[in-house]
Amino acid sequence: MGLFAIVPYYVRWHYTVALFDFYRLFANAWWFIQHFFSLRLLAKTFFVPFMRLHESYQKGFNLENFFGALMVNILMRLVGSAIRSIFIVIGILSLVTAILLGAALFAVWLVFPLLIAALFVMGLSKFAFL
Amino acid sequence: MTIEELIHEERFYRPAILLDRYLRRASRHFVRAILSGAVAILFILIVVADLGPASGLGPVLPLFQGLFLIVLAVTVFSYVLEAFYNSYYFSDISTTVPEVAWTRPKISFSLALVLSDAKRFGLLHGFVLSPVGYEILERLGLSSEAIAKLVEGEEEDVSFEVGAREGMVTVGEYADALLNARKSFQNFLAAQEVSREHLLGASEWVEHALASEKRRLRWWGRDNLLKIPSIGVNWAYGQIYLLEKYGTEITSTGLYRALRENNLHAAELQELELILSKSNEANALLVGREGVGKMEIVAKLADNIMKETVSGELSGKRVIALDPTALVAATGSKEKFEREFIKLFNQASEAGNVIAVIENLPAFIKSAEALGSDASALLDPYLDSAALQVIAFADPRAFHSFIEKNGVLMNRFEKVQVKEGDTSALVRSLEDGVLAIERISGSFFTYQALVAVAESAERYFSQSVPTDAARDLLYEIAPYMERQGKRVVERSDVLELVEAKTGVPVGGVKEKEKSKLLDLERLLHERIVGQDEAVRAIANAMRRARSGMTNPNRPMGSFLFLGPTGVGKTETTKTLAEVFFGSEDHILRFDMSEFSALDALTRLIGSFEGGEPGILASTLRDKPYGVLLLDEFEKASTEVHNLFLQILDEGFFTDASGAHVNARNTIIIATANAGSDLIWHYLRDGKKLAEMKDVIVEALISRGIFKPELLNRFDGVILFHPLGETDLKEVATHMLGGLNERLRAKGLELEVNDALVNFLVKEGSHPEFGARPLNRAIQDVIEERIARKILAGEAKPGSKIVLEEAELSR
Repeated sequence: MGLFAIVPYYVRWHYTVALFDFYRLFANAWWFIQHFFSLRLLAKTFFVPFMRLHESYQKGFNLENFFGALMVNILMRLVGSAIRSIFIVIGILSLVTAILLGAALFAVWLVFPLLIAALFVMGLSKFAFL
Repeated sequence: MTIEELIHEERFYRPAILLDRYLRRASRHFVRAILSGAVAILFILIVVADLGPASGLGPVLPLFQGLFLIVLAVTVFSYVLEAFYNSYYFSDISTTVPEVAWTRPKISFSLALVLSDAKRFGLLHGFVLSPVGYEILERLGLSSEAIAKLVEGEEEDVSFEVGAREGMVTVGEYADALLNARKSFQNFLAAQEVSREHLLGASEWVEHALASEKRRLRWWGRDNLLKIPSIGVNWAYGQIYLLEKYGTEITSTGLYRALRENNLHAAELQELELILSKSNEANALLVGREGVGKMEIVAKLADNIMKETVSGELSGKRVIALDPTALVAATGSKEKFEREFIKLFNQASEAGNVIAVIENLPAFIKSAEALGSDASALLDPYLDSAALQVIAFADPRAFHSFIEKNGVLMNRFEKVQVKEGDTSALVRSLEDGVLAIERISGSFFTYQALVAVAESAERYFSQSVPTDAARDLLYEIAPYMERQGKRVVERSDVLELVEAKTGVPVGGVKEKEKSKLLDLERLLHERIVGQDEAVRAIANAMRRARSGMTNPNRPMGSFLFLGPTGVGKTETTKTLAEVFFGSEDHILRFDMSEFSALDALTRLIGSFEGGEPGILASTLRDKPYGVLLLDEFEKASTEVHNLFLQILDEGFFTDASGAHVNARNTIIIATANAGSDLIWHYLRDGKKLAEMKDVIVEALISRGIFKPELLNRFDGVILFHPLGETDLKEVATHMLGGLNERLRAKGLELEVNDALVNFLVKEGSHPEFGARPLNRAIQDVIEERIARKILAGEAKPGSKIVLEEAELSR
């Protein structure tokens, strides 16, 4: 049957082209996690006040007003850094998870034909109990 | 690439093609769905059976487990098999955001499918029988019977080479080469009235639709992943509540979602990105006609920002279109407006990542002016700062009349001129929309119908925005076809609809117009006496123009009528208006003797300084279809002649505000008495006018009345000779016939005899004025005598009025 002509193509693909595809998929996932958590931007703007919320310094020197505004602005920067830290950590954890998952999937991929065969044999062996 | 090389490249896709041949994509999808369902059911059964004796399924648990493991293995493999297929299927798509480890094949997947069939059935037959080739031929309006004929008999065995335009060889390029190499294919398409451009256009359309679908399906690609918004992008920037209230983020608009990959306005987009990347005063003013695609350029900019393919300065920017009308309407008074305006722009500046888009800057400033506020002065400090960027739009007219005069705005903005797209660009922009309409209405558009929509939108709806007019036509054609009981929309259907909407005989010559054109001499002679040569020349020129032999980007016809007064020039114009536009009301008449002064051109095309529209521009905008009659054309100024040089050549002109005015749907007739003396002179010498035409035209040029290049632009320079006695008698009989018709309404009849006609010709003809005094003679003498008879009771309803010679000369 003509359909079986695909088998050699498939086997070759599984251990050549598919490995590049796998790498590309992993690279896309890696890139997406960085993009989704805006890791680079969050790191670059780590000490920028959250949502640019700030208190303007009023004209004319007034110690109380000056320190009041300074405190608020330092606080907004700290809030910004704290929130960013949380998401940077989540992002990094996601990247680590992607590495672990990617490695596991890669291992599975390499033994995939055996895995399928094993599932099949295990399934057939269950009929022996009937 | 040679065919052999192409076939060699086809091997790259062979695994996917083989899989597709034995198990189609849709069938595989169906099988996978069934298998996945079976896995789920078996899993549930195992869980239930495992509950213990209570379930009653304990004895068959191993059966379920066995089946589950086997079906699971098959299911997982079916998914991996699809990944195997997709690996090849998606390998030819282009992506905006580059992806790693991707070697693109040298031919497209669609072409590989064609080549796979070409190997089996022949290069032409394979193309026709392949799914892609067949769809292309269907898009060209070919019936299955016609397509079947194309694969009848043996195919000639001649190989050919296929050239690639942009790296990867596509089906369109294969079809083009096939057309060059196969005479039978050329003849077949020619017989079906399909041109090479149509074949290439339809191929591109079909391939583009396939590529779009592939891009949509490949959700794991970076282009699609980028559509998921990131977390935290806006934390580094401020909030813009007010701009969000009065504006819309470009990336959330329908226009952005419908954006398609093309090179349209690529130069303008590049210029815009450069301007916005500047460190200060980075504001751009897009100047272009409404509908030319200004917002599309901005949407593409937003897309590039989203895909991070812009320079670092633009990274992370938000492009937000402000709705100035909403802002003005919501505030209502000068104080409120200014307060809200300043608050909004302060907020946007502080946010630090905003590119604000003001769609119609002149209109916004004017509406602010209505509240007593100077919006350009309010805007100025923000335009000067680096914290906020503004993209504003203006049409050429408003730009010239409003912004160009405003030094402040001109300093702050850099102008980007947005060029008009051509018809092929409009066709491409409609292709996706057509597919959506097809899905809703169940209709099927041929490529020629799509081209007809684009051409008609540009030519017959020039007062509207072409893209809007084209989309309106597309939406109207579906119910129109439903009423006709037809599914396949062809070019003729589109033209019929356009004709029904505009009343203009559009497109190719149809049966009704064909018979009119073939019979044009007789139709003209019904109202024009004599002037056989003139009538023949006009009829020939109109036939040439309407049969598509002349340039379509020119007026429907253009003539210069030369001859003395009262010989039928105006009557000919009226007849042409009636024949081609259905009534004399479609004559747009200009007395060009009024356009001889220095301000003539300004009066015709408008004044830039005064902001007044020109009379010719306004007339053609109001009535874009009809006969444009330019009486006494020789008396117009040289500037006016130069203006018509362009109109006759290109079918349009640009008015003072820079807007295009279309004259392609008009028949232009210029009349002139110049050269009448020569006509008289040569006729007196017994020469034939037709033979002296070149001499007369030369004389007009040497006298400096017309430039040779202007005369050459007319489809025909027609000479009208003075009317002879026989002609005048015929005209008199015609006119008396007209009078008789009026009398018949009162129950009276005038006897038209030789004596009456002879008297009228004697009294009412003048060598200088031709037949023009005849009308006066009928009024002054004939009608006067009849009135006397009616009042004296000599003419009663039912009676016949006879005017004796003695009575007339009294």
